[in-house]
Amino acid sequence: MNRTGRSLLLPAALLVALVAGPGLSEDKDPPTPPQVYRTFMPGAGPSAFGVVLAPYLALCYDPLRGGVNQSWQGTLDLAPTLRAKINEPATIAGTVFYEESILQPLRIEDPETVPERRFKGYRYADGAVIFDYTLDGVAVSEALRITSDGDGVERAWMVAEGGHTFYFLAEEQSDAEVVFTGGTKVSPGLWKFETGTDTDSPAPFAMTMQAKTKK
Amino acid sequence: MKRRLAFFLLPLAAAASLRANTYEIEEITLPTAMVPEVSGVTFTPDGQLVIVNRHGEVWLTADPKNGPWRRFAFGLHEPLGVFAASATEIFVTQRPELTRLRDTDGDGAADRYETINDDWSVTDNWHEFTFGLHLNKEGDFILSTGLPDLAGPLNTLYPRVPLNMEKVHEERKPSPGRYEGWVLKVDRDGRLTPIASGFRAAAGVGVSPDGEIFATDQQGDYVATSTLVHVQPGRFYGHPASLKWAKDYDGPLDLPELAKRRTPEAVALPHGTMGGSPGEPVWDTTGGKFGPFTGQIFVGDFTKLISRVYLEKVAGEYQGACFPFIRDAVGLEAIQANSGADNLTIPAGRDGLKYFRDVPPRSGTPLRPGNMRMAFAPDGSLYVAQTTRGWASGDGLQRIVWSQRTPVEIATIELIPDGFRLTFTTAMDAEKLGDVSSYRLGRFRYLYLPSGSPRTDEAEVAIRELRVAGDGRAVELALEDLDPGYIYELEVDPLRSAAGDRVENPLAFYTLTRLLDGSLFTGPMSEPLLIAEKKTDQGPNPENGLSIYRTFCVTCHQPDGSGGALPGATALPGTPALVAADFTLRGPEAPLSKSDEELIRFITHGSEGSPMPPFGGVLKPNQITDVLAYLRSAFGGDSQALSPTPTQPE
Ligand code: HEC
Repeated sequence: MNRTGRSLLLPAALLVALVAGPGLSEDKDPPTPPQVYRTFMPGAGPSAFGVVLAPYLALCYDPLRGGVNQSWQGTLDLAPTLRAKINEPATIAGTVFYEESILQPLRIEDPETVPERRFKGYRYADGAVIFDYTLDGVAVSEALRITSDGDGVERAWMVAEGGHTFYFLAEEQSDAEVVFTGGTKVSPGLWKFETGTDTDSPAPFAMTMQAKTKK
Repeated sequence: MKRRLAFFLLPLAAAASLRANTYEIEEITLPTAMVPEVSGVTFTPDGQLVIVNRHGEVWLTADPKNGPWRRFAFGLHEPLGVFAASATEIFVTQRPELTRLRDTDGDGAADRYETINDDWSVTDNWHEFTFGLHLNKEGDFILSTGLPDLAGPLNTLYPRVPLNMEKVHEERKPSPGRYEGWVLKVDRDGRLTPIASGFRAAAGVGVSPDGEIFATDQQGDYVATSTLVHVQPGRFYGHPASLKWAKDYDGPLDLPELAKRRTPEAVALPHGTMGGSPGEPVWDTTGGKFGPFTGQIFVGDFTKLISRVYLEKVAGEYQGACFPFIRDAVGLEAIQANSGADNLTIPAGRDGLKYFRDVPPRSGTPLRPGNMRMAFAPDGSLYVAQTTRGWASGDGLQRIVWSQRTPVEIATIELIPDGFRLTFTTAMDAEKLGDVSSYRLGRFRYLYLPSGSPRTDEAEVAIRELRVAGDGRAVELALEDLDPGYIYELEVDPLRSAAGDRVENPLAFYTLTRLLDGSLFTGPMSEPLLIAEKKTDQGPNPENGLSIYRTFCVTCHQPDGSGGALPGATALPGTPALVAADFTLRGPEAPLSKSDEELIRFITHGSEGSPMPPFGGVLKPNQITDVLAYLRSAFGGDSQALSPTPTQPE
């Protein structure tokens, strides 16, 4: 992301600053991203998450479908969700480069079976937002943060319990470069990772999503 | 009209501010960074104030007067309830779940947003709310859910629990998501138990000091008027949409069967007079710091009203009385602007305006609308959280402080074998207490119908005997007709305290579901008993006139027509007579001795330099003749009768 590009996007960044209001206390600076807003998101299940990773990078996390519905270069306009009696979904203020629509793309033990997924909440840690849930009763954490070059989304899954095999059903992306690490490719679009029996520090299965066209 | 109203209100406001109220309203200054749609208020065990707003934030302060405030959490989905276990562990109801917010790194802001339970499904509909949040005796969380409205879209994608879109009863508000229209319990292990069904939008849940659960419901289909109900496990409270989520659900029921299953409310909050949209019930546990109503319940309302409820147990179930506690003027212009509109600054709906009774403006800080959440502070003041989005305007946080002067009020109304016993907060003028003309008593019912119901079977009730207590603090009203199934309406405007003061809120309703022996109404729940008389003549209608009078004229002329000094008026010398005409006067100087033509002209155009507003722009000509017919029938005695074909005002 070059400097000019970033400043061009500043007006959009203000959108979220405006609806979000300033930060942690009356007299401190605005919070540093990520910021998570539970709200009405277009095309998502009820009460999904708008996640602002940086003033120029955002995504929709759907706790019911189970994953990142889309990620875009831009920000999130919450005003339609807040202004009237009959609300409307938030606006994706930017250019979408990554999209996902498979129901529960993360599967456990069998890639053909949609697991039972229960949402458990989220937390802020180490510059990331970490979503917690269970798949068929097994606890999974999914961390989302900006990549170290500040350009894209890094997404890593952590499973403490050993002895499980997970599959991720990856969809083809025309506008994003997607790179997987820590897993093995079973077939085109199907990735697999295992949680060790010796579970001290399981190697995370991770992916990065980056827009092919830089804004 | 605007010019003259302003002329009237300015000196009034100036004079009125000299007078102290028995309860004062104070504004709490909120952080500028916070959008003041305050949708929840509570205190931590160590006394810090915690509020949430519709934008999804949680804010805290140890000093509500001076701040500073700290934002504890943000990004929540329309939280409408909050419970603070401590300043670092706060629970909120969001639309889709009950959430625990924790600050684990000690920086003053929550870093963990943990889902405690999400076993109900939501559809992003605008009328779908999750309300809360209080603990019962066992420490379980009590919350409730509202039904969506088909006037707005439903999001049916990826529901948390499969939806059931079937509309099984004749219902305007369905229950597509599991447990929509229920009061629910979530225990400390995060397990959900549905408690009771039949709610339309139980916008306020509360738990009594004894641990009993209560909820308010909102007037509309199947819920003829807003209510305060005692929530008991397994019971059904009237709106059938939610029934399909009951364990023992066995298909749709017809209206008589639904009526049989329905548990009646503890107290009806008659629509129009007692507001239009109640919020959270809170119990006065201040031990006298908030005045003489210890143990009673306060219920905020969306309109500019906070009401008070006194409950007693009759034949094993709660019933009782409601009173206005603090209400504020809406004003002629707002009434006119809102007439019939779906705007709850004054109650909407059929009975809304008809029974609405405006009051003179209070002195000092006025009460805002949107009073949906309240909590008592450790110092005994009552914090009122206000949010009005889309329905009216006015948001924020106020607190109500008792000024240590005893208000002259009916403290309690209790059922006795032949009527009611009223107990007052102070000794009363015994002569007026013993005078039948001090009381106006009536009764009515609401029908149980899919369409909702206006008041029906309205009738006056005669007082057979008055028994005044020796200390002048109580009176027993023995009635001609004391029957279960009716709401009794009492107006006591002429009563005065022993010191000569008016009753602050001379109005009360007792919901007489049962008599002392437990007997209940046995007639049809969904049909009137009295057949309304068909009006054949097209002449002026004093009944319509009464509702116009209550809405537009009582503020100055009083319910009993006696008029008198407008509030705060005497303090300003040199202003024109701020004295409303006394319609009960007799003789050639009496207002009602004038001809219809003269009076119609006066009501239409007002009078130059007088605070009597011209009503020509507010009321239609036939409404003016209706209200005149009412003046003559109610206060005119043998004064000149209204001519059958009155001259129409130009
Ligand atoms: C803002 C206060 C106010 C309101 C509201 C108000 N009045 Fe009056 N009214 C007065 C005052 C003050 C007078 C005495 C005027 C005067 O003497 O010039 C008065 C006088 C009257 C009179 C006596 C006229 C006469 O010639 O003696 C009538 C009749 C009357 N009002 C009817 C109404 C009706 C009907 C309404 C409601 C539709 C109403 N008023 C609402 C303040 C009010």
